[in-house]
Amino acid sequence: MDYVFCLVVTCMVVGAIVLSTTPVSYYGVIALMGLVFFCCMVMVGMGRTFIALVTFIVYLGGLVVVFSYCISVEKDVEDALKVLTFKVFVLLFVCVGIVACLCIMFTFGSGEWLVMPSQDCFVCVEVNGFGVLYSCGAVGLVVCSWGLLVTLFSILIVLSWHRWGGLRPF
Amino acid sequence: MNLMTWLMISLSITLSTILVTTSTHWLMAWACLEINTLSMTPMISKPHHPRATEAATKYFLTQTLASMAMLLAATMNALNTSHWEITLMLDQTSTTIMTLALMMKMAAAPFHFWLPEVTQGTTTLTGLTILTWQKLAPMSLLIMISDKTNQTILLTTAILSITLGGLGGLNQTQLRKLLAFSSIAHTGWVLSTLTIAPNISTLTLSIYILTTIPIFIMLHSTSSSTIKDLGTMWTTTPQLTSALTLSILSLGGLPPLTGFMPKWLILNKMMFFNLTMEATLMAIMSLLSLYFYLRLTYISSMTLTPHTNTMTMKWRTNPKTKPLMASTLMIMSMLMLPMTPSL
Repeated sequence: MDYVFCLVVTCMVVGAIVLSTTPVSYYGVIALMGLVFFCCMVMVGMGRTFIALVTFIVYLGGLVVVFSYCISVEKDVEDALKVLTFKVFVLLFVCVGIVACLCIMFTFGSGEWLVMPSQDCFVCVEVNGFGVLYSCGAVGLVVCSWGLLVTLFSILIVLSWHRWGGLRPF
Repeated sequence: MNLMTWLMISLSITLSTILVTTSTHWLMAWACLEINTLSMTPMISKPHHPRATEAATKYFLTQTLASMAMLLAATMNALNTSHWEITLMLDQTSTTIMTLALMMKMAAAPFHFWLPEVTQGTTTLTGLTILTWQKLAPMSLLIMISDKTNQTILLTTAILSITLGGLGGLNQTQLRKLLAFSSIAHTGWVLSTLTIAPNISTLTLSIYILTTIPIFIMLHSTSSSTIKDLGTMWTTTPQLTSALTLSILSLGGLPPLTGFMPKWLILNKMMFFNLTMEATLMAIMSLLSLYFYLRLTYISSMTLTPHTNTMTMKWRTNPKTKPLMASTLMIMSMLMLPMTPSL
């Protein structure tokens, strides 16, 4: 299990590197998708199947929109490897990543550092699950819903929905 | 931005900061900080200029990163100690991560790069909000965990902030960027006594806010954006220009003015705790910021700039904005030093 974990975490790091260095936007979306997938794999490995599935589905739903948008704004497909900065960054990241991995291996040992201690006892004194939000922690519920409302509101304002809607010239 | 939108956003910014200062649970503090960030973003991107949109994106990304690190630290703390109490951060690693994340929100030195860009990209008054009001929430959280934080990290950040704030402002001609660098330097002073005397840190922050508000209001009412504009400010308001000069000197911390009080108290307290070397370094490095404050002073009041102005008697016409708040705060930012014994 530890080796599978290692592989998944490595794929996650690679996905993040590709995402942060790629000059072509839809490669970035694919990398993001992979990143999300491997993050969810880590969560599954830690025994959180349901939340991993929900996260993946929600992310996938959002990413479909992003993906179609990226493809529609892409003018001509250029080879990502031809861009010089991309190469330099990939080389830099790979070197730094290898050095960092070796350092971590040597300091912590390759043994049990990926396994969380006490995986299944996330019991907290103060929060006993969602039920609290509906009884004595009602203020928390108000704050959370207000936060979601503000999120929606500010997205709408940033997109200046009251002026042009989706018909904005770029 | 219509009235309802403005009301909703300003209410969210105000209330979320107040809720952060009163919350005891990390998740609630996180949620309120997120509300704060999310309602600040449309404020920044309000002019709908590409530069403003860029500033909003930068602000959103850095604040989200800081919030994420904060959430990570709180979760780690909860896993190790089984509670989410803010004042009881017992885990050393998570306290360090939390301190760094909050410093990122406050734009202290290694994480300060976003602040000048964001402040330059927005309008003057939004920049004022970012430099003053937005520092209150992370500052209150830092004060709540101040007895658990690592003194070395705080002092290193403080010295680095003062140095980089001074160095960054040296070659700057844009006023908002300049004041952002000055804000970074002041954040360094605030952070330096956070563990040994949180009350002095609070005092430093409040006096910084008190001094910055009139300067920004002046810049807004005369629509000055570069140092060059300060040279012709006397045509608009000669009295306020001379007062602005003194306010800028107070921001630099010269003795008879209010700005000297926090520096004095901080250096005194650091000497008391035997941090002589650090205190000396901070005092020397603040000379860098003093240099650019002196340059502002020089240009605004001690020389005539070689720019031609079409109308030198503009101050005879009635001003559009009545600078009541600016003048009141300016007097406070200059003359409060004698109040030091009663604090």
